[in-house]
Amino acid sequence: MTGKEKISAVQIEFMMVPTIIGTGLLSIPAIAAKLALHDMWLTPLFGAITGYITVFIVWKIYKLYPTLTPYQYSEEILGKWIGKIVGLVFVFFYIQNCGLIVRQYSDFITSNVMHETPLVAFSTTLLFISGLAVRGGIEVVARSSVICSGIYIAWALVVLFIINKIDLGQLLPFLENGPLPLIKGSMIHSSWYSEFFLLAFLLPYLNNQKAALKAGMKSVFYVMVLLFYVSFFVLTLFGLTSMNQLYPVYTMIRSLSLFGFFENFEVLVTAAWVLGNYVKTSVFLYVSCIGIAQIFRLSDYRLIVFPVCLLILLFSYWNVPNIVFLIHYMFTIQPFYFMIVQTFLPFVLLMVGMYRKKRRGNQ
Amino acid sequence: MKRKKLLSLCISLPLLSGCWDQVELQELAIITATAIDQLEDGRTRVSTQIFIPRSISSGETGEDPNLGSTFVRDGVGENMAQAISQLQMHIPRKLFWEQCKVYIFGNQLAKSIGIRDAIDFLARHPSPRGNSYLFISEGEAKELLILVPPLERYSADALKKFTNTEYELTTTLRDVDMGLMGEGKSVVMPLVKRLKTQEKTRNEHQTIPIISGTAVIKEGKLIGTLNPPESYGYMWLNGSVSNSVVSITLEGFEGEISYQPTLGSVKLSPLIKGDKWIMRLRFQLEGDIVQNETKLNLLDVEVMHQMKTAFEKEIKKQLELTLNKFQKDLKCDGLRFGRKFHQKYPKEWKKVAANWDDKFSEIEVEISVDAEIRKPGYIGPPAAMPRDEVVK
Repeated sequence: MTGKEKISAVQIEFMMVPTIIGTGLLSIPAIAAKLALHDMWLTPLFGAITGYITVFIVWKIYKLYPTLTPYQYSEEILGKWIGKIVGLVFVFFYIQNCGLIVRQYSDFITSNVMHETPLVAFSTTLLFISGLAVRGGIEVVARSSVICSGIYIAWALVVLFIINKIDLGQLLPFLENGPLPLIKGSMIHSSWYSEFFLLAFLLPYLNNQKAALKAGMKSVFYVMVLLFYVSFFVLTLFGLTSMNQLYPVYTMIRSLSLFGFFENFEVLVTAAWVLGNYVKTSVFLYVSCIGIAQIFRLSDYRLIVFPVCLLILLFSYWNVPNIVFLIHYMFTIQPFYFMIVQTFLPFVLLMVGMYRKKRRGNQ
Repeated sequence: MKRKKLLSLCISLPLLSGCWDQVELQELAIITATAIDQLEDGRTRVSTQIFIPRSISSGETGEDPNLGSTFVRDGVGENMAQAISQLQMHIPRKLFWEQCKVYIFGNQLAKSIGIRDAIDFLARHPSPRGNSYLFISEGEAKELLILVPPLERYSADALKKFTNTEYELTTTLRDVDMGLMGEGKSVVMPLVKRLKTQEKTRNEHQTIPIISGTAVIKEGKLIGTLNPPESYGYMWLNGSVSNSVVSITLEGFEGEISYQPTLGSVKLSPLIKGDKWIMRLRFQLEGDIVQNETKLNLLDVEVMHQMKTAFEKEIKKQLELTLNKFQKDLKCDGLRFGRKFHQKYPKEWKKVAANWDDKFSEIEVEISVDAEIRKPGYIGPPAAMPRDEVVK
């Protein structure tokens, strides 16, 4: 089913990193600061544990079924009908979340750069480009993401210019209210780290099976370093005021001024972020499309790419009425929702799969 | 295939131009500074200094330089947002806030309703930046915008240049936000006033705004100002020492010796001993002697030692003056001691957080000053004095 398309381990890393932090960067630091206060800078490190666990689960199942995607092996593991239902859960989950991503992206651009442009202008263009890439196949997505992610991550260097304005004192007091706020803040990160389950949909195309675990773990590590880097600077620059901001990272870049005349970096950075969001949307869109194709045994997933795009566009309006609701959703629902679907459900699949294999081995 | 390419080209053409948000430069009114005042009837007036692009390009065409390169327009409303909406109606072009780096709050506004409402507007609005500079004016804020500086292009430019120098206190929107939200609920901001010019040849408005002192804001309201020596003390407590001069007299000698520090560093270490809260303040500075009015030859180890002790005593006295002002007169933690105690003693902090201001005024401050004199200037003995009159 996977066809002849092959991608390399490095391409997987380049695809995964923006897929996790694409939207995470916008809002995680503010929400984590609200919960963890001055311990916010440590939350990415603890949240990453979820990422490592998810990658480990994905890798374990991958060793059992190296050529199948989760839609296919859930049918193998749980039987045809229950497997299909689990597959549909994944499809629904990724279509809905893709809608959320598109909405967050358009909200971000309209509230920061182009205030008068309607959301739909950004949603449609992003989905159109992603749709074209997904129709081209996973190789096209992978190759374009190497370029896009490179530019996307390069903006992080710009943040270094604020290094003379930071106040390390903001990192203290350490664990003021005990470890609970830190754990709560890490839970916010966990919902993003659990998206590493997407790796399971990409691994069947990997050209070198041995590199799978290493590629996954490396991507978690990169994401952790980037989130830590950003959280650290946000906290040391803004202190607790970072929790009042909707987009603290963006505000941080706006306040950058180099030698008094290099300013307005934010436009460049926004342009780079568009590329990162393109990678993220493409991966989600791809996963949703092959899901429908594989569950309903379509001969080619390419036919349904644009219809799914339209559905995602609608979901971007259905999901959230405004950003206040979105942040509330990220606070209360998302951590549990994401971890149940993307970490716990695969864990169940793995357990049942291992049990079946053992029984088959005994017979 | 060809049709597909054509189609995608047609789709992308209207989108690439960014049609909704496109603004031509000729359609913009570029704001260089904003002054926010409270009128007598309680309404808010927002005055903006708007840049006239033509006057820059026509530098040598014989245009009257007195015309200035900016003009000032007002908007009045119940609050800042309404005032700006009215201001927009007075200007045919679209207001452009991105370049505005200077915001001046009128004294009356800061005293009565406070600056918090305006800060909220600035932080919420997408255009003003976190690193724009905020000032409190000694009188009406608008008055400072209409000044025409003889050297700079416009008065906001002059103020902005002051903020680049190390010896002036500067606060950004971010600092104010963090300060008022922080432990001390207060922030210290520069006070600006118009420099009175004596020159007869110049007209009344041809002068600049200068930073004249220090304003203490607590919970959004102006509660007091620091006089020049206290302001120096405050600057020292932030480790910025350049352009301050300390003068002493040595016992038995007429005249003063002046010392100019060039490098300074402050270390604050909080300590809680039982019930007593102590802040240990270590102030290290390095500098040179800049003037000697006495007959002493400064190239002498013993004299140097005497001077060092005297300077340290004098600096300590000035620091105490500032600390006294904050602790006893204003009862307001503008020195961010609360942050330091919170960092080191989070548990003890929680108990006093509610009435921190009372606790703050009881803090014992142990000051130790180390004023290093690097050199007595270019010469040792006093200049322009016969050799036999020089002591030692």
